[in-house]
Amino acid sequence: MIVNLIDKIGDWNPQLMREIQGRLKVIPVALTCFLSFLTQLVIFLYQLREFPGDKYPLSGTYCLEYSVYQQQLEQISQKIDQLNREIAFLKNTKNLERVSEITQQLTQLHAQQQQIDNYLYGSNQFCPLDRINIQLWWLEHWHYIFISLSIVFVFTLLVAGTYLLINNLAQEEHRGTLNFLRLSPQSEASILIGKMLGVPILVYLAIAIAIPLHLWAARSAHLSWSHIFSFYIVLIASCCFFYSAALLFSFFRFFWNGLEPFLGSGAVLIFLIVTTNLALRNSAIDWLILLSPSIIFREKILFLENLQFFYFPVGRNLLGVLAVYLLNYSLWTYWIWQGLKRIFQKPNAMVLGKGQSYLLTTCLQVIMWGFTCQDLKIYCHEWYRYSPDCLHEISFSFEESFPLIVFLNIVFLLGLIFVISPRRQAVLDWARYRHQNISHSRLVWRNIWWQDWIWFEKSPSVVAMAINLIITTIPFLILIVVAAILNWNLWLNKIGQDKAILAVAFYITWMMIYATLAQRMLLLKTPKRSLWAIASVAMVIFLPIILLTVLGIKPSKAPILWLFSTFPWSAFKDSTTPTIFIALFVQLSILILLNLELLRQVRLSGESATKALLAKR
Amino acid sequence: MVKDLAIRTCGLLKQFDKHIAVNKVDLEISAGEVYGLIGPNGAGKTTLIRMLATAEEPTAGEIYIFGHPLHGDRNNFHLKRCLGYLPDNYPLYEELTVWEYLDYFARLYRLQQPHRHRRLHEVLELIQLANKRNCLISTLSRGMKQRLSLARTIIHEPILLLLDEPVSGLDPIARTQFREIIKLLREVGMTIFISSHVLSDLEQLCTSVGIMEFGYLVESAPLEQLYQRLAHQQILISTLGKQEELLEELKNHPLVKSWEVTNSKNTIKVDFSGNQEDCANLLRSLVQANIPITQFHYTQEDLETVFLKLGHKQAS
Repeated sequence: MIVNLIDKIGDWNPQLMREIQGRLKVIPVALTCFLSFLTQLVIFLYQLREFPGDKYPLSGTYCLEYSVYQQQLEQISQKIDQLNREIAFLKNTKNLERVSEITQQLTQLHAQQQQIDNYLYGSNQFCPLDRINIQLWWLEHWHYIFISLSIVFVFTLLVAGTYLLINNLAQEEHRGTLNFLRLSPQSEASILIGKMLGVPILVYLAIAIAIPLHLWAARSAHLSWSHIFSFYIVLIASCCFFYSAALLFSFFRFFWNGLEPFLGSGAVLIFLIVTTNLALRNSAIDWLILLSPSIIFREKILFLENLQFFYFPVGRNLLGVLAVYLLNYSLWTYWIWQGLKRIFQKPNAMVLGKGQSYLLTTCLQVIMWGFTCQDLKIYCHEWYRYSPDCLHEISFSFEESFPLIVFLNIVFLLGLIFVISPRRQAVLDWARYRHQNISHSRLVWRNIWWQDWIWFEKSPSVVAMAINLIITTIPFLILIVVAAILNWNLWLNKIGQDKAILAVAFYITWMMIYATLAQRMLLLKTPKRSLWAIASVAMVIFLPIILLTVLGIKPSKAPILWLFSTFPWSAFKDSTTPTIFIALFVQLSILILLNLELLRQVRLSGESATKALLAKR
Repeated sequence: MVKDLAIRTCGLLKQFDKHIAVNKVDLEISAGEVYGLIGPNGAGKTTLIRMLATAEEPTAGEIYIFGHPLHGDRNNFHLKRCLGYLPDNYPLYEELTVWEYLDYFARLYRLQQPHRHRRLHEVLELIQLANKRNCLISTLSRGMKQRLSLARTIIHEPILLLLDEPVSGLDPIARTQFREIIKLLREVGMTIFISSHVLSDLEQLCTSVGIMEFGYLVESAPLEQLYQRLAHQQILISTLGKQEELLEELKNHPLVKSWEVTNSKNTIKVDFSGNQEDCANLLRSLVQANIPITQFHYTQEDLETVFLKLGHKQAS
C-alpha cells in the first residue's frame, strides 16, 4: 500500500517522491517516532509532576478550603478598614473611651487575621484530598500541555525545517545535480514544492505523531474547534512562508560556504524567540510581528481585537484575525516566489526585476501605512483613559510609527539595492550588446533609451532605485502636507515644514549615494565584488557616526559635522535652514560625481575590443 | 528547409567578462545527423553545448531547435522534452539504486505508465545494466556510471542528444561499449551532437564535424566532404619481386603523385589522387605487368591527421 501511495505521489510530483524515497527508511523513521513520543511523554510528565496530592498546600489555587479562609480574611479586612475609619473620626471628637474599645477590637481582629494567615500559609497545613478541585487542575494543565506542544510544533517545524531545506539545496547545488532539475520540463514550482514537502518529511512525521495528544489537550482544555484549526492553518501558512524564504536564501551565493543552514535556521530561531515575547504594537511594525506564528500560543486569539488596518477593525473576530494572518503570509510568500521562480531557472539572474521592485515597494508602503492608521485609544492604559495626557488624537499613531517606517524603509531599500543591482557580467552584456538583444516587445521602445534604465534588469540600478525611493517618500510628503494643514500635534510641525522637507531630501540623497556606490562596486573586476559592495556601503553608513560618537561630539555641540555624516537628521534641531541647505548641496554634488563615474565605467564596458585597442586601453 | 534543421544558431555569442568564449557562431545541423565537435580545451565547445542545452544563456545571438526559437526568458517545456544533455561531469544521486534513479528522471520527464516501465527496461537493456538495476549507484564503476548517465539522458526519448566529452576518462572497453550504444541511438534516428577529444571515436560515429578554435567555428562540413577536400588517399602496395620494377610501373601512372618506401623493404606507400575506379585500374595494370603483388590496401588519412593538417594551433 505504501509503495502504491509513493507511486501515486511520484506521478503527481516526482521530486516529492524522490525526497520521500531517500528519507523514509526504517531507522530514521523509528528514531523520529521514538523522539516524538519521548517529547510528548516529557511534556506530559512535566505537567503531571505538579499533580496535587496529599501534601498539596492549603493555599494552593485548586484547594477549595482556600476560598473559605480567603472569604473570612476578606471579612476581617473589611472590619479592620471600617474600625480604622471610625478611629480616625473618633480621634477628632476626642471620645477616648470608645477609641480604646475599638483599639482592643482591632487587636483581636489582627490576631485573628494572623492566626488564619499562619494556618493558611503554614508549612504543615495541607489541603484535604476531598477538597482539591481536580477538575479545574486538569482543565488548566491540559491547556498548558496544548501551549507547550504548540511551541514545540512551531519551533521544530520552522527551525529544523528551514535547516534541512537550506542544507539540502546547498548540497544539490554543490554536487551539481540541481542543474539536471533545471533542465527537466518540470516547472520550478513543482520541483520546489516537492522539496518543501519532502525534505522535512521526518519533521512532519514527528509532528503528525504528536497531533492526537495536541488535539486531546486542546479539547480537554475546552478550546473550541475553530481556535484549534485556526492554529493549524496559521502554522501551515507560516511553514509555507518560512520554507519559501529558506529556499530563496539557499540560492544566494555567500562568502561563507557551508554555514548557510546554520545562518538561515539561526535567523528564524532568533526571530521566533524575539517575537514570542513581543505583543502587537498597533504600529507599522505589526506586519512583521504577524509573520511569527508564536503569537497564537497565547491564551486566545482575541487579544488581537484592537488590531486595525486603515482604521478597519480586522481583529474583532477570529475570521478577521485569520484573514489578516493569511493575507500577510500570502503576500510575502508571493513575493518570495517571484524571486524563487527567477533565480531557480537562471541562477545568475537578479532576484527581482526592476518592474517587480516598484510593485514590492508599493506593497510594503501600503502594508506599513495600513498598520500605522490605527485608532489610538489602545495606547492609553485603562487607568489613564480619562486623563488629559491620553490624547485621542489621530496623529498619535503616526508619531509612534514614523521612526519605525523610516527604519524599515532604510533596511528594505538597502536590501533592495543588492537585489536589483546587476553584477558586472550583466552590465557588460547590456552595455556591449544591448543594441543586438532588443526583443520584439522592447523594439517599440528602442528609441527611448531611458526605458532600459527603468525596466531592463541588466541595466545599472540607479534610476530604478530613485523610483523606489520616490515611492517610499510619497506617503511622507503627503503626511507633511496633511499634518501642516490639520495642525496635528506632531513633531513634524514642531521642527517646521521646510526642515521636514529637507529631511526627506537628505534621506533621498543618502540612499542614492549608497545605491550608486554599491552599483559601482558591483562592477569591480574582483570576484568578491559583492563583499566589497556591502563593506563599502556599511563603512559609509557607520564610520562617520562611530567616529563622531567615539570622539564624543554631540549633534548639539557640532551640528555641522553631524549634518555631513550619514545621520544628518540628528543635527536638524540645532542647525539653521541655510546651513542644512549647504550640507544638502555638498551631498548632491557627491552624488552627481559618483554617478558620472558610474556612467564612465558603463561606457567603458560597452566599448568593443577594437575601440579599446585603438584607444590603447 | 528550416524545419529539417535540428539545430540552427545565428551569431551565437557568449562572453565571460572580457573573454569571448563563443564568437558569433552560425551552426546548422540537419535532423538525423551525428555531428562531432572538435577543438582544443578552452575553444568554447562546452559553452556552445551548454547554450544549446539551455544550461547557459547566450550573451547575443539566436538558437533554433527544430525551427523553434530558444528563449532564455521562458521555460521552454516543450523543447526541453526534445533535448537530452549529458555534461562532461555527470553528478549522480549516489544513495539511490539504478532503477530508482532512472524512474525518478522518467517521471521528471513526464513518462506515464505503462510506457515508463517499458522504457526503463529498454534503456537498462541498451546500456547493459539490467542486472545492476537494484544496485546502489555508489557501487557502480566509472564506466557503468557514465552509461547510467547516458541512460538518464535518453530515458525520455529525446530527438536531439547533446553529449559533452562522453568518453573522457573511460578505459578502452568502456569506450567501445559506449560507442556501440551511440551507434544504436544513431540508427533509431536521433540527432546527436557530440564533442570529444577522441577523434578516432568521432570518425567512426559522425556524419559531420565542426572544428572550434578561440571561440570560432572554423570548420563545419560533412565528414565525406572534409576527407575529399583535405585527406590524401593512400595505397599500400607490397611485392614479392623487385622493388624497382614496382616503382617503375608506378612512376608511369599519371594519378600517382608521390611514393614512400616504408620500413619493410618491399612495401611502398603511394599518394593516389584518383577515385576508387582508378584505384582498380592501377591494380589491374600492375598485375598485367607481372608484378607479384601480395598486398594492395586502399586507405585514406584519418581525422586526426586532417585536423592537424588544417593548421589550427590554439594551445590547449
